[in-house]
Amino acid sequence: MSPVAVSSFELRRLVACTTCDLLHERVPLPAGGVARCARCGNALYDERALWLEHALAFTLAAAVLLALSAAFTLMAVEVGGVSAHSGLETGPIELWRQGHAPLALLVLFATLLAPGLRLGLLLYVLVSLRRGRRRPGLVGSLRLVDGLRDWGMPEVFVLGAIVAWIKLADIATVSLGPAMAAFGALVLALSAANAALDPRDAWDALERLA
Amino acid sequence: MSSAARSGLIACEECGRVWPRDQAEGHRCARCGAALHRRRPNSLARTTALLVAAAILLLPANILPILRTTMTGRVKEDTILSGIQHFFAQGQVAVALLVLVASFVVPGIKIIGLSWMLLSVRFRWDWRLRDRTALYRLIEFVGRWSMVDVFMISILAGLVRLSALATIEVGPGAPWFAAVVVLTMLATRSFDPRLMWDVREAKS
Repeated sequence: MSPVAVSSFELRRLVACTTCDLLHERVPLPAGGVARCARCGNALYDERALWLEHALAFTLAAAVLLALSAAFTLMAVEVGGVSAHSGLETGPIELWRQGHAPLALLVLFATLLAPGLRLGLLLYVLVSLRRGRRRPGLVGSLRLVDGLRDWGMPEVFVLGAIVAWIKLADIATVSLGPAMAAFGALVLALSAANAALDPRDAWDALERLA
Repeated sequence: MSSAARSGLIACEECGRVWPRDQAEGHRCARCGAALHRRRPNSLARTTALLVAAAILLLPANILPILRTTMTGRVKEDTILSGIQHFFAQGQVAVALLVLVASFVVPGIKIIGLSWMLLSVRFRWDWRLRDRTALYRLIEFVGRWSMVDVFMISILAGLVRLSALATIEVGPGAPWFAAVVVLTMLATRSFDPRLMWDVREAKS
């Protein structure tokens, strides 16, 4: 097939499937509708009302919850009258102390640094879009937001904490601290923010801002 | 129906913007600045290398202990599998299944599934293309969940040391296991599922 001659206006209306490359023309969808690839079934785009407002609200909530998780006690153990408590940073510090620096950095990055950086940058982008202001570094910020998404793993950490809790339960009395509740809520806020935000919508909005 | 590549177009992988190939190939996306490629560069070679490395590291990750617990003078070593067996023996079936899936089934599916996809592109197999694409999306989605054991180790090590009730040392298998998870995640990202559809398009 010969290359099609298209204007830049028409290019803007085209969507290529990310998993099979089939080309589709963007059509208006009803509220809550999802467009799927005609060939492989992958989700292409959808119509979300107020996505910017929802994403902004949940991102803000997630940022506050992450700060709370970092500030308070995650878990406490008590055995024979002796008690101790740990926070998000305790595990990585101990891994580092035992000579496992790469492992320590991986855990610290996946639980604290990547989610924190991503939420900060996302807030910057969303607030700028909401106010319709073109600010420096927006393009780079949005790309980092996309890139960091895979490497922040709060929801996996919650499962790891549950497994650790059950493993310790037969040798000590374990209680969950306020940071654990905040972290659990963070997971919910993050998944709500991710559900509201299609990065491609953010890119379209950023392009219109220019 | 035609792919973007056949229509002489390139879709930016970062932001989805579509550009004419003759102007865009080898350049950066004018909207987001990402490098534009028709397909992910050296996709097959990179994915193969990362997968082979992950498959090799699977051995030390599963044979070496990931945790060494010393309590009242007794030393107990746990590998990934013996940890799972322990949960089963305690009657914690739900946790046992969870760890079994996260630490054992998911890495296995990633390595076997991606190998199948690599072979299918290399030998131009057309079979179950739609299912293979769905499997790719599944692998992309579940990859991170294998980190459950790594986080468990980190939490145990920190908490137990502070309480002085026992010592928990990170076993030599743990970093290898984490490396397997990271390498398979990178392998998934370097594989380009569109190559599988190119095989069908080339045949028709």
